Amino acid sequence: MFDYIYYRLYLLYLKKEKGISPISTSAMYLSFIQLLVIYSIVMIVNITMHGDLFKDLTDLNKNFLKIGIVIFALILDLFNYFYYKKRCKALIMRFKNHPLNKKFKVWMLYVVCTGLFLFPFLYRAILKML
Amino acid sequence: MCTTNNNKKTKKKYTHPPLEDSRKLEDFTCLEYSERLIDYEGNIGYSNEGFPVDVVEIDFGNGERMFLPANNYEVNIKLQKYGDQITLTIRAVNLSTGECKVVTQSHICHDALQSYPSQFLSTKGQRKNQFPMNSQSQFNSAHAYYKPATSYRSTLQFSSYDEPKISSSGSQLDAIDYTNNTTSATGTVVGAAQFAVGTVKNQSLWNASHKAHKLLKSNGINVQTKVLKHGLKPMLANASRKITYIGAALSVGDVLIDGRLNASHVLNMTMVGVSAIPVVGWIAGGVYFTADMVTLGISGQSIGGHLDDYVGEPLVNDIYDW
Repeated sequence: MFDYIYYRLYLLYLKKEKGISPISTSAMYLSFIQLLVIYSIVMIVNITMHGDLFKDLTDLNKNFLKIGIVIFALILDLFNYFYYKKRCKALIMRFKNHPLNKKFKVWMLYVVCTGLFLFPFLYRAILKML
Repeated sequence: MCTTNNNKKTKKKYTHPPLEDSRKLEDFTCLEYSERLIDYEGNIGYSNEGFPVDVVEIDFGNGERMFLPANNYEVNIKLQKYGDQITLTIRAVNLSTGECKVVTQSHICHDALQSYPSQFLSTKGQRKNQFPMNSQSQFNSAHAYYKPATSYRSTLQFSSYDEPKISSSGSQLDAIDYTNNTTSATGTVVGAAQFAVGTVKNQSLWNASHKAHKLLKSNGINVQTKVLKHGLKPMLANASRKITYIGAALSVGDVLIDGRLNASHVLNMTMVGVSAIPVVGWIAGGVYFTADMVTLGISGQSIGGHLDDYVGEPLVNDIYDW
């Protein structure tokens, strides 16, 4: 799934950036989507547990954890960059005639990202109503 | 689940002896339940169980006090600092019936409160127990500290500490704010450099690259002029986008750890989303981050900080509390 998303992002930025750095940019936005997926999963687990995951952390530890998340995000970005730099050409060949190419539009990713960010809040609202 | 009782706003008469300072408890309850002061969901004082039976008094240290029934209640106190506001949420659960009542009180941080820790609550007259802010502080021990209904003196009190730091991220340590501001500042510098590189003519860019090549060569680093010239644009473009990405990761981390959604988080995420749109989005994102930096320079607070202040309270105060 992420391979295909990367492929579509790569094509978009290749066209719009006029070849400046499409691999890096698309890897970065892919990392952002992956980060949102992780965020969404952790939030849902933590909401279910009434916030037990971070309950006992002090303010200092919370701040360290936030900075840790940023470092993790950068490492994820680097990993994606090197991972997809190697496989970029292979992915183009693989997805060139993929049936989703006509159905799936890149703007749909914005909807997916917004959904991933807001879904935990919806989940909480549903739990609250029950 | 909590049940709230909003419909009773009539005062209840009670006949307990006056307080030591000759004020009657009614005076305090007037203060306590004034709509101007308190936005309350539950109505602890006028519950069917009767008020006051035994009372825990919360002293805000600035002349304001409020009362809670302590007998048969488990009292949880939660402090949240948001901008220049401190919100105190007190939840009392009746242990016999399981009924839960909530009072929320917001305070603007004026001088009196600023000299208070807002990070710790402690119990007066007993061994000092400190509770970290922003977490559910269990005040089960409140039962032990209240005094009989004949004397309604303070049992819970904010203790004095040195001046707390107000931070927009809602925590005492400003690491996130510093990181945010540094990110914003670096983003603006990189954005400006990117804009400058984009506007200068090819020849000027070549000359600048040639000078850089000479400088590097004199230091023992041999990089060709054309490499410098062609590498500058992608490098700056990458740098500015990476900074946007860091900002987004910070916002995500902030919401995830604190469980609180501020207007600034939504704004940040929206701007990151806008920045992902090629060309138009890059321009809009660049303008926003520059404006953010200018606002920060002029007012000492980012656009997000101003927005948070304007909105007043977080959009979602505690997502983990349901």
